[in-house]
Amino acid sequence: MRDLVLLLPELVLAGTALVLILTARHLTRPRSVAACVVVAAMAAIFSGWAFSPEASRIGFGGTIASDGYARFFDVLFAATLALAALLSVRYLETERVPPAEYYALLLLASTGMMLAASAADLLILYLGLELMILCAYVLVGIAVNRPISNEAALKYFLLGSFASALLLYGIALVYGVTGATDFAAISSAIAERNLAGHPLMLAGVALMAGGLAFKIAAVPFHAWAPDVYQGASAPVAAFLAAGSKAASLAALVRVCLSAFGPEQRIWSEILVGLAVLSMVVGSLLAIPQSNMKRLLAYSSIAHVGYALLGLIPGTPEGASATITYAFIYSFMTLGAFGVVIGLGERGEDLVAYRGLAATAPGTAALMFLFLLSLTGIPPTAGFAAKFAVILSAVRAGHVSLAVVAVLCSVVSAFFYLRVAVLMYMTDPQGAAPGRLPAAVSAALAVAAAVIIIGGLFPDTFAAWTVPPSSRTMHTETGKALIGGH
Amino acid sequence: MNVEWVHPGLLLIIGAWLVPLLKGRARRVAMISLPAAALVDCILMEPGTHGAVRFLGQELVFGRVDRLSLLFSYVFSILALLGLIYSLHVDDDAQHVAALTYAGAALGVTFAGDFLTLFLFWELMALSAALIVWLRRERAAVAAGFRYLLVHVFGGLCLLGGIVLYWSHTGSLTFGDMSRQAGSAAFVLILIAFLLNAAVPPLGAWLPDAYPEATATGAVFLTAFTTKSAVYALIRGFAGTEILVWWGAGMAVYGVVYAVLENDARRLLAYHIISQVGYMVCGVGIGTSLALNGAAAHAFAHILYKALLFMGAGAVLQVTGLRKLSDMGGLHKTMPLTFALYMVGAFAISAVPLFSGFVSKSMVVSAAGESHRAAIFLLLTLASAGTFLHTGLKLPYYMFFGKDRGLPAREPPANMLVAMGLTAAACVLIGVFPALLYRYLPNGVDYAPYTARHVMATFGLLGFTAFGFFLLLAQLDPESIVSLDTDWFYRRGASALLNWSRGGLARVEGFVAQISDVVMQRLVLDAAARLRELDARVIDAGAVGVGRVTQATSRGMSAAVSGHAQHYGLLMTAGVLAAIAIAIFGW
Amino acid sequence: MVTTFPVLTVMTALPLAGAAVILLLGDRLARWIALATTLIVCAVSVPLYLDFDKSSGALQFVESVPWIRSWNVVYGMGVDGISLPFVFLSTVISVLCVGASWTAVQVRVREFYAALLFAETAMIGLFAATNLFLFYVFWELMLVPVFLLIGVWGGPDRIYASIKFLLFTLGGSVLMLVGLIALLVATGTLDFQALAKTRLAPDLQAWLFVAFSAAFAVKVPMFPVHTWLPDAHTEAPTAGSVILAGILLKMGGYGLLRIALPILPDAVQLFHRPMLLLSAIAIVYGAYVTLAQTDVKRLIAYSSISHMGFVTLGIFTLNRSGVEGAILQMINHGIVTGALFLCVGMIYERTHTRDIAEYGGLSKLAPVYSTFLAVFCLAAAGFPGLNSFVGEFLIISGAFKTWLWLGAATIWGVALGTTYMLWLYYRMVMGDARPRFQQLRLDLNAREVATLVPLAVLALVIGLYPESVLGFLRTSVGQLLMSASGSGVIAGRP
Repeated sequence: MRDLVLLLPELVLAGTALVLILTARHLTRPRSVAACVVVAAMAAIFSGWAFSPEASRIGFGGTIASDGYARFFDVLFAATLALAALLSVRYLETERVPPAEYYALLLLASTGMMLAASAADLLILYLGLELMILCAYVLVGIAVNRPISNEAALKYFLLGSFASALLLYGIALVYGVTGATDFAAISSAIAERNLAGHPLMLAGVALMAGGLAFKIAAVPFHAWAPDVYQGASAPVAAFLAAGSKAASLAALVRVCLSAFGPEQRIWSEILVGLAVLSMVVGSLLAIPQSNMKRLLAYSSIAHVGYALLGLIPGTPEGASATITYAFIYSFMTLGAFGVVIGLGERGEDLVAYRGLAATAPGTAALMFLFLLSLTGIPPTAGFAAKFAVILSAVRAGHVSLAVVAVLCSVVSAFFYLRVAVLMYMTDPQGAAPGRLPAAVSAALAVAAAVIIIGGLFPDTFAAWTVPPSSRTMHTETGKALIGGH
Repeated sequence: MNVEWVHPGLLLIIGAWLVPLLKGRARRVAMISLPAAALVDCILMEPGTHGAVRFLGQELVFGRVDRLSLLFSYVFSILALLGLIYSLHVDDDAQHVAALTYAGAALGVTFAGDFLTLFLFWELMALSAALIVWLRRERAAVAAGFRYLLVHVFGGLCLLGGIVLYWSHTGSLTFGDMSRQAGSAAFVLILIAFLLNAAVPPLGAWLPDAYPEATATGAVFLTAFTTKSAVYALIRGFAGTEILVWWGAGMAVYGVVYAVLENDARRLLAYHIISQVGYMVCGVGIGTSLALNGAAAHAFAHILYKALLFMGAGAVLQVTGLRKLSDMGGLHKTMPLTFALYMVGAFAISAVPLFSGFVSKSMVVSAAGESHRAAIFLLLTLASAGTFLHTGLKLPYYMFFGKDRGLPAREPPANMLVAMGLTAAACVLIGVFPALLYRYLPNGVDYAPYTARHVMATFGLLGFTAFGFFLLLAQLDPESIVSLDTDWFYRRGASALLNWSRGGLARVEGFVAQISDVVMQRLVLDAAARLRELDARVIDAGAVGVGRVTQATSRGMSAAVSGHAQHYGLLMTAGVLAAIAIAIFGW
Repeated sequence: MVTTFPVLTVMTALPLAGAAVILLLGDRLARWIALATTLIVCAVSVPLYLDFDKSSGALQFVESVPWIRSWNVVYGMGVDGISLPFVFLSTVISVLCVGASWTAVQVRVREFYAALLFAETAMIGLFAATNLFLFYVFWELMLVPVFLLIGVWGGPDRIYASIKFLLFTLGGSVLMLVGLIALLVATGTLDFQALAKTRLAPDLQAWLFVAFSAAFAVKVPMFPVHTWLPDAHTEAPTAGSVILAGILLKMGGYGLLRIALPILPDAVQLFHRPMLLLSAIAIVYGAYVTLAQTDVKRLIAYSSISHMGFVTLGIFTLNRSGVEGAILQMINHGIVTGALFLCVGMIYERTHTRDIAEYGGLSKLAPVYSTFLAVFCLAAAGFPGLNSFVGEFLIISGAFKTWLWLGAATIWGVALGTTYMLWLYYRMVMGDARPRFQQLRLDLNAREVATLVPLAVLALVIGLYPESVLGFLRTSVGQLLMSASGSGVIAGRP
């Protein structure tokens, strides 16, 4: 019973979702629904920090870990949820999408994310990720009368299930070799029975890496992202880019550090490949894009590459650098998408940004800030985050990786600042965009605040971004399980 | 610098900016009073070291006042005064500002006690001189001025290089006798710079190239300062440098020979500057106290009479607009005063007794004699004969007599005549009372020019030359007088000297005259154009090319994005297989 | 000497505050607020020069506040003899930029002055930073306003120029970022003084030198990565060109002095001959290319390449007169080239052409203008008595002490320099006036004169009394050369 406390945030969100679904008929005004979703998110954060125990604990028979790591991601996902909810209002009003279902799906997806982040067991991890991605399929295709989003949803579903299959197969192999799905048990089993070099083990690691790489959209598992982001509505795309990516990263980090600590050499080799490919391909492919959502999709691919840099050395500070990066990136990309949403339908086309600085200086300034942060120009949070991950890469002796990363950020400067050029250095075309909806501007304000604060005082978030506590994994529960075999 | 000492050069340079601010009478007053004030300043000046300032941890001396610098400062400020009187009628402020700056810079060089100060005023002099040439504002003048500037930039840099080397060797910047450095790179560089300003062949081509292009009034200033300040610097630094003896003597003859070939009145006079400076350089080379006195005195006298000659030629140019001797003639009727005053200058430069040239030039010549340099003595004497032949006889003959073309001419403006009159008076005064000049010479003088023997010898020389000239003239047929051209001498089979000069030397001369153009064209502008191409085509293209390649790659890659789910699936499969391969073989 | 009043931080923060106010209050007051802000910054900076202790080479007016513990980075401000002149230059140049843009800028006025002030913050901060992290932050910060200044208010080809500028400089500085991180990993600190004390492994030094000098070489710019400069200078608005020439280029040289020499002495030993070679090439090559230009702004831009070649040359002679000359020459170049760009901007406002061939005879139509132009052309040509002469003199003597042929190259560079400067003046001002200019009112108005006079005065003062700047440098340069000469470089006698 006291284990339930560990899942309090998840329960809050899931409960809200259920309520929404039950009362869907009566809930037609997106504003009110969004409001209560935001409240629910707040409640989730509060409960997460208030009732969860001080020390890291494992509950539910060693399947749910409640540590600083999990709590940090609870906060991140709740925030993402809240911002996404705010950003969605106008879209729902224009597209006539039933708000209750939509928000319920958002809530459930967030629940899945939290579950995945706090999972201490491969099955729970899989469960959380699947819950998240199933909701995502629907969210992408929720505008039933738009062919493009249907196509996107279908692609996403097909490829996604392929990836889930890979993940599941990997889990199966690992279980077959170690006889455990519990992270602690797996790592101790590898260590004690010296299974590190076991071919099936290795194959399992590779397969799981592939499956997770799909969810974080790392090259070569990235191809779905641009189509899906373009097909999905902007708010959903934002939610995916920020939330699902962060969740999958969280899962990846925890798996790598807690479960496959002994396999570090292998997965870091795989991650090096993924990171380099993602950075290079993502940056290069973003250059010729003319659709803002596609451009942001490719940029998200590139940013996954940067984020992985921190994980490669497999050190705690590296991991915390990675999750800091995930945190900052979520707000940067939410901000950028927020501007896209604020500009309405035409905001998805680059042409809409011509002369924006003249017609809507405030919006342009915010966009410029987000773009600078995405490029990694100080003193924005994007720079601090990039600095941290590159620092940990160099600490691990991967100087060449660092050089590749910074060179890619020069390339990325080209396409990010091309938008800035359009906004500031060309003459406006067509009518001036209307004022931003209050909800959107609120979301943008939050994102901007995070970026500026995180840039000026990088230590602000460092306090929370604690790496997954691998030590607590080796508790008697873990031992008992292994003993039980 | 200390208050009780006012730098006359700075007085002129700064005061020059009054001229554009004033109008009419006030302006004329300023133009006269500025150099007058400078002159008074120089006369009142106490010998000693003034205006010392710290600069780059060095002691800079703006006012090294001794007999030598005082002598030159007198003549420089006198000439500034006369020149401004001569150009009072010109109402182009820029010309006056340039002239005053030029004179001021020359004074600055004179008083400079260290190399940096010297260099400062040296460059200023080159610049203002070029400005004076430019201010005739005609295509030819502008081009010549620019060549002048380039040559002097080159000279100035030789000087700078020498100074820097001298500084890093000795750690001092004091400008004094360089003989201790003899042979070192610094020594050579600085000597080259000085010789270039002294218009020593083959570095002298800029002088006849630029001076005739200046305005009638501007040329008067040009004749005085650059070459004589160089002579001053040589006396200061390179007294007794053997090579200068021969160089100077050769120069004296060289100038005369080229004067023979010349038809443009002022270019002819310009060549005579070279010849006359040759005497001074030679004197410096000889280096005995008499020779140095001679060099200084001759510089003093030369400035005055050469200015007078240029004033005369300038006056003719002013009223007739003619430059070629062969176009002039018969002006003695219309411009008698100018003629008379010009002749004073002509006698002076030809060292006729009772004129200034006589008392100064003879010092150098006899110094050569005293130091038993027969050959030098002979060369110098020959040169002075030639000088008389051209400036004393040929030029005035064709200008004022010769075939009367009834040119519509009148006397030049009064101020010109006044200036010429004053200058002429000075020439005669010095000629009659040499003591006036001698008492200011750097070394004590016990030299008496008017010995019966010396006077007789001079008259003999001059008389013979004149006789020869008119003899030759009697046989001339009129039309060949009309075009006084080099081949005239050729047809007349005038001596082998001329053949030689028209042959070898002329080619050298032609080359030297073009040198600045050659340098400017070949070495600089062509190279510049090529390098600009290189910069645009290769270097910039290389840098920009990186960006272009990146863009091309990205376009190619994005073309490969098909949008088909099955392709994406294949890609993922490949990825997974690669990952497994890494895992298994990486272990 | 620690003052209680954080003067440097205030100087850095004030322009930012001014920018904020401008953005709030709008176009009408923008110019005046900007002017007031820059002037106040100048006023605030006065005690800096009065209370500065010339006899000590240590950092003064030091402020240090813990900032980012996880990377052991503090917020540290302070100036020594090397950075102080640059701070001074930044404050002055900013005022003049406001003056120069008074009428030239008509569109997006408030954004313009905000960007200008933003740039001033970056400049002052960069020169006052006492650790590499802060230095880098301001370094990158500087990109943004200049990028906007060029791209928004620039000439017809401004977008190409601005993107080129941004990518070049960013490409250089990201390598510096890697170097910085490597330095942090190797030593655990980014404080300049602490770094100068630690002695790194030679091969690591070599790599770091490559990384850092990549950033600095692009900024300076050194041959062959200079090609962004002509485009940026040419397309930028007057104020932009002035900031580029006056400050931005100096960041590179300052970085070399602040980081390369003291922190990587062995690498400097290893690389200083190639660097000298590149500098010599830049001097002569830049001068040649300048000579072939037909666009006034382009000409001055290329002349900057040649002049900055002198600076890097002086730095890498590694002897006292060379380094002092280099610093002085950076200040001089900031003053003179800034002034030249101001002059060009002023005449361009009236004639709307930058083609030299279309000019001529300005001396008749605009005597005052011609006079100022003469002063600055002569200064740029290294005319004795004006500021550049002193710097070039010191650098040349430093070069002669190092290699004789190097001195020859510099002399040749000076020759070409004098030539193109005087030729430019001669083509623009000499000759007969162009008919199409006759009816224009070409000569300067009081505001423009007031903008140019301070620079002319500075040029004269430094030219006649270089101690005014050198006095601040001497001790710090001595220390710098001591730390740089750890492995046997002898600081040459002055």
